[in-house]
Amino acid sequence: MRPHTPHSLSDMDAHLLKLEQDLIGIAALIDQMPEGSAVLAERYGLLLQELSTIPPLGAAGIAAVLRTFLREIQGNDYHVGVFPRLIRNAMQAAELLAADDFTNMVDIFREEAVTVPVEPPAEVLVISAKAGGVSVDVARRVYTAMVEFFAQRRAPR
Amino acid sequence: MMRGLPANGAVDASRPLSLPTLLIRAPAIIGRHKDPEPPRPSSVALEIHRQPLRAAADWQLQIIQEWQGHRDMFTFIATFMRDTRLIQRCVFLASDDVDGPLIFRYIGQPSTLILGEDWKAQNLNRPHFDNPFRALPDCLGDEYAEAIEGGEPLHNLGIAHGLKNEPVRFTHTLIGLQALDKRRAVLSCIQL
Repeated sequence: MRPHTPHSLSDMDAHLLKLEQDLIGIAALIDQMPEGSAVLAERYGLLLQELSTIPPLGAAGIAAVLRTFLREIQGNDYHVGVFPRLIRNAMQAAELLAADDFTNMVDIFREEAVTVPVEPPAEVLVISAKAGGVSVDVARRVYTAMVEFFAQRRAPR
Repeated sequence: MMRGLPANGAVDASRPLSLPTLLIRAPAIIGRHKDPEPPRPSSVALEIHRQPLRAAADWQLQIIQEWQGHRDMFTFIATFMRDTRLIQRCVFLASDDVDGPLIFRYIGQPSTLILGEDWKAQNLNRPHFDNPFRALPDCLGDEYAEAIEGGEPLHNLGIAHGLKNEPVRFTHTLIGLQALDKRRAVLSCIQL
């Protein structure tokens, strides 16, 4: 399971994507200025530092970190200091996703292994009718509807 | 290379294998555990013969192909098995952690046909060895380990003696899967 974080998955990754867009915007502004701009360059550096401290959670966040890394190593003004952190963040997030992927696979097989009889035993109907406060006949119709739903969901697509 | 652990004493590595006979049986002393089941008189033996992958049936080859096109895309493979209903011809085992045993997580129709519904109920969600309801000798564990560690599908012809009046012939294609964190799984695609 993922470690608990105060932000939801999409919040963290949305913030990374926003920072990435800001960086691209500032870089474009700097490029338009013949002499460059110390103020903008400093702002750029700060935003890049911030981006490098945010661990991505999903594939979108990982992609944003990797794109940023690629732009940095292609640029002239190397922010070498943030490289290891960018790469480590992306790598760790990808590893977590991969672990989730394995767990997902096992869960799919486990879910398929659960089987129930098409015809419920009388005892099951009595118990569930009582639990739901309905007649045995209603309990039977509810049971049948549920089984049919899952049978259809499992039919080949 | 790690091989399947011999349960209850030594298992002869030569084939065919037969169920080991327990020479000494001690009652479990620790509280909650029941005494071991008395070994059923059994002459179950399993022959395993390695076959080339091209000897696999069409549907087994289809799964291999799908796996080769989507290596390590675990959810994709599981969804493919489920949606094509090929899952019903398979056994799936997975370990909960790095060192843990492979645990039956799905038992399909071929196994149920040969070993029975009771066997399925007793084995689902239990380790494939170290289990009193184990029906076949542990050489399957060696095959599973080889599929996982080798990283390539294996295809075997199996002949089980002593389960039915006639020897039961089957083939299985084994696909070993390993997570980055080293959890292991095996998909065994069984053709009777």
